[in-house]
Amino acid sequence: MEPLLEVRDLSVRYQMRDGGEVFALSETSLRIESGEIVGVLGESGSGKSTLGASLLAMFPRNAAIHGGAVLLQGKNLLELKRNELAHVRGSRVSLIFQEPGVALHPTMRVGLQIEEVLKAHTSEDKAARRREVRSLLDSIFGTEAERVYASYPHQLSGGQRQRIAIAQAIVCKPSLLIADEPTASLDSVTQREILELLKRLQKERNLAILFITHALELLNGFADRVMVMYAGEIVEEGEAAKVLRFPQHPYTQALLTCRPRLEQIKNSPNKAHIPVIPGDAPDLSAKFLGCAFAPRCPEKMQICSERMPEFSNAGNGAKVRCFKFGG
Amino acid sequence: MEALLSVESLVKEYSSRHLSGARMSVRALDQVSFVVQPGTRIAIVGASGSGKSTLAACLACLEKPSSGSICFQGRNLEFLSESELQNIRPQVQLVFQDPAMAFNPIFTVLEILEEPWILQTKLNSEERKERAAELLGRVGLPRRILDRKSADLSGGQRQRLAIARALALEPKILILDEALSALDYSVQAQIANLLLDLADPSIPLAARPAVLFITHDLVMAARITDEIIVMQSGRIVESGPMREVMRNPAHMATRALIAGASGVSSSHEKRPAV
Amino acid sequence: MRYLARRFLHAAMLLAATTVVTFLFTTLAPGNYFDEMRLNPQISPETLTALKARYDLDKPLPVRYLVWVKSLAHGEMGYSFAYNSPVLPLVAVRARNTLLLTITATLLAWLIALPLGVWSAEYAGRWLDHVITGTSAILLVIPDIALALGFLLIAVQTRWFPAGGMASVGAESLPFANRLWDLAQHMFLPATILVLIAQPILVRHIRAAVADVLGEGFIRAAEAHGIPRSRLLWRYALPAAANPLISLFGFSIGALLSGSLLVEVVTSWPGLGPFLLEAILARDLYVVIGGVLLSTVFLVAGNFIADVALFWADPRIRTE
Repeated sequence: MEPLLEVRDLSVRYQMRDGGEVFALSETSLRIESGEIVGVLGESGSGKSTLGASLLAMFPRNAAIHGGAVLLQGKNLLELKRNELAHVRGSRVSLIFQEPGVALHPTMRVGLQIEEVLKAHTSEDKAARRREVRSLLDSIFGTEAERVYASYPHQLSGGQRQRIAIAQAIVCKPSLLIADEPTASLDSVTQREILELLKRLQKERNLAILFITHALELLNGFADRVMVMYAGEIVEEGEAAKVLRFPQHPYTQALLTCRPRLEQIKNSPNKAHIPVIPGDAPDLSAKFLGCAFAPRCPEKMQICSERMPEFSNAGNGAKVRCFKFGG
Repeated sequence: MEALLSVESLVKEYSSRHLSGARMSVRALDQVSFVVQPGTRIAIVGASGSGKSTLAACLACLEKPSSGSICFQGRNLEFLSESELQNIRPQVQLVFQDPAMAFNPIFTVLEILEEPWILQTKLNSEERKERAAELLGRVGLPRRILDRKSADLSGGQRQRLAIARALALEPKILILDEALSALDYSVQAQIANLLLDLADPSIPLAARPAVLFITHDLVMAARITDEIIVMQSGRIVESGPMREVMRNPAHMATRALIAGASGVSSSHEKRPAV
Repeated sequence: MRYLARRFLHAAMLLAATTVVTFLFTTLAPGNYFDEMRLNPQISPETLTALKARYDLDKPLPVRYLVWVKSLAHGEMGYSFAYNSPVLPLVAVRARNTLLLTITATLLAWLIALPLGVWSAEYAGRWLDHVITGTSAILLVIPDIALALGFLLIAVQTRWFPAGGMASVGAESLPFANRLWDLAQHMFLPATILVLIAQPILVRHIRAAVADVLGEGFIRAAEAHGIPRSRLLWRYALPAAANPLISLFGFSIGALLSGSLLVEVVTSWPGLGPFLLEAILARDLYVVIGGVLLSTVFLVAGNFIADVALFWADPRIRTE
């Protein structure tokens, strides 16, 4: 069966002012089926945001695409013209960002901002748009909907603003929502509320969600599938429960141990050091010959710095790019 | 033993204006009282809007409380003259979430670190450079970045630099206001370890700053501090030894935070609308 | 509303201060209207002294200021020596003409500068941007006076449009529509010069303000929601860039006003410009003060309108 969206061997580089290049994505491929929640786990510089934006062909000006395709039901988004892309964005695939504060127009009432999206993609008249937005806000905000509708962004809390951004993104009933660190600026309680909203939307609307985050604990019980990214490449991919509980790639393992767990702290509080990933974040200004994680890897072998391993099946049923499992 | 810092019935009100023109006053801090002993590590945890950042600003003398008192080593800050305050400020250091804003981007790392020494000590430039390099070592930064501009550093490096600069003044209290929240977990772990080292009980008390770790991230707070103060709507709703509170949380807000941090849905523990 | 009240008070105080300063400068300038008469043997020194006394020129400065303020309250604004009449009615007619020209030029200048600035920002670095910024740069380095004289020359040589004045001879007897057309033709020359003088500054600021906004997150977000590009520019970016532009609008009224004083002289538009020049040369003290004061009123009013617009445009200011 054809997937909802597929990325094939996409490579993206950023041209820097000093003439150098940053290798943001290196021959990355992924498939998203309709109605599934895919978590993309990675740290800054892993290419996760570039990957997310590329699904809408939203590249910064200094980005150069070095091959690959983004196929939405078979059609390559990278070959579309600007106005054709505008038809896809917001109506079939939409995107929400980390900072809901800066993602909303500062001097437009938020209700109208949602209506603008409807206006861009439907031929409904003003009254119909208003009705639709009001009923959407009712389902998201309940009794507060009316007040929120007429508010300006600065009058809302961070969580409310992110809900407005989500309302904008789904008002035209897209089949895929890309959420780029949507909860990073929110406190843990509000984070959970946003996750619940997204989960509800997935169930009610069969909405596929690509959830990009560095906060691995958010994916637990939320994502169906997880992809772990490092230095512009996907290094591990599989069922969320398995990847998060039994990580196989040395990077995933290291990343999971450097985040403390509350249950452990409760049981045996200790003030010893938290395990860290040794070494520096990867230097993206040059292409790696081998595995990008090799310089920091505790299980590094000779071959690791010679070439990048291919995906192999690992014990947890996930696909892992590591020579430990073949490659 | 004399308390390092004692906060008594602290109130901070902001007046704001509603769209209708009616004047409203918002209590960001409401009767907040607590004590910080020298060399202790305390977490102040709460959701956004709980008043924890206002508290940080009041403690660092960036905001004037509406009422109540803050006593540093027994002296009420409110009654101190500007020059006396000037002596106390270096001893209370605040590190924000985004240190990029705190640095002049055209300054080098060395210039950022040595600035207070030029004003307050008689060290010559060689000695200052040596001390700066030593400080960088303490926060896990290589000596070679002394000549780099702060704008060229990564987020994690900048945050370590911010902590190094705070330490340059040998403060009695280090206040971290969401100082780790914007960083990757692997970087958070490194800086958290640095904070654990700073407050290591084997260091003599005089050389060990007290740490006030203000955050919404209960997990990291629980990992690196010994005591917890939970805030909600400007009030302290629960406080005590971290371990006790984690095991037997008494207040709803604490339970919601723990649930949120453990990844359990909190929908059945709705917090009041703020 | 407190914001508006504050701005209004601010404007009023500015005007009061202007009266003091202009009064001071104009009276302290060397010479007065009667100096030339002194050389005239037919006028006796006694007559001169009597004349000066009549106009209170022999009194100390503060007294003269108070007398003037009193006459301002009576709607006279002092007395013109040359015209032998109260200043206000004299100045009012000229001020109306200046206002007509300045407002027309301001609106035209903005109507033209807005699309140019927005397109320039949208196509930054592309040929359209280069054409717009290049033309602006050239206009910016041409002195205003050269621009004015150049257009005057074109008008005189080609006779495509009237080269001076505000109405053709006998225009008063024409029907309203024809009179309006006649006025428009006469206004073409001074208005064009003014628009060209203002253009480069406006375009540059609009370009910078819009380019700033185009880099903001909410523009990127709106793009991700598939908002069409034209709507993104005009409905999203431009209103968000409005704050600095509204302040610039207030400023541009001032710039065009002072520019129009010059252009009026060159194109003999019967406004405050030629009138003020004449009064300054003749040391017709109160006319100068009146003219300057009225110009300041326009300027302050322009800025006040900008403040009101800012209040209306930005909900963050409205709710403080």
